[in-house]
Amino acid sequence: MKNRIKVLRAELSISQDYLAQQLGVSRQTIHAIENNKYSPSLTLGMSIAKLFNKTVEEVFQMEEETEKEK
Amino acid sequence: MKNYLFPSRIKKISGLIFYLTTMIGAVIYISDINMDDIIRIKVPALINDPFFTNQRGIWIENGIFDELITVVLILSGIIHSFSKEKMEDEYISSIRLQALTWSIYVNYGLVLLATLLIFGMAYFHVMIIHLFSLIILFNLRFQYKLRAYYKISNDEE
Repeated sequence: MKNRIKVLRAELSISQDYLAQQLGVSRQTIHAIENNKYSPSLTLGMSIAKLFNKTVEEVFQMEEETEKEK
Repeated sequence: MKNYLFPSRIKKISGLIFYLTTMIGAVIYISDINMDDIIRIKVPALINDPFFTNQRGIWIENGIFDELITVVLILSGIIHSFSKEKMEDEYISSIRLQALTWSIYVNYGLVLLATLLIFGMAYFHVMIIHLFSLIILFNLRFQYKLRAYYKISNDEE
């Protein structure tokens, strides 16, 4: 699963640390999610999307979907 | 969701006790010291084989050092393995689960190998080691993976 957290974070100029604090997780977890090393739970995924004021689909995409888009 | 973990404040002290007890236990086991002569007291025996103890009855005299090491090692190992990290989140939980899965595979893989290749009294040592191997393997694997987790650099772009 791919995600646009890094891009969305850059748009709002917020750090991994700040995002982690807002979500109640560690910075390392945000780093792992951004680099597709870890797929977050539905709860965390929805919290991330809510924090960016986006839908879950706007933040996370299945690999197949991103391949089709190309 | 309930996670059945111990508080993080006891992680360090339980880890210290666990690694210390593991080392003491390993040294004593390898050096073949007779642990039955250390701290001999009367203990209640639910089941007792007179062939090994030369004693009958519910109360028998026994060196409790080996029991002490076993109890401390297992309890401290479990507490250290299942204590929360300072920032316990779902990624840490997934690392813990992966380490547990890995250690069960490796531990029972080694037991299977030993069962097929080791016979006689030597297999008794396999059973003794197997009492502690799972918790030791799990701890080593989990700590190794945690170290990698905490090493993640500050590569924010």
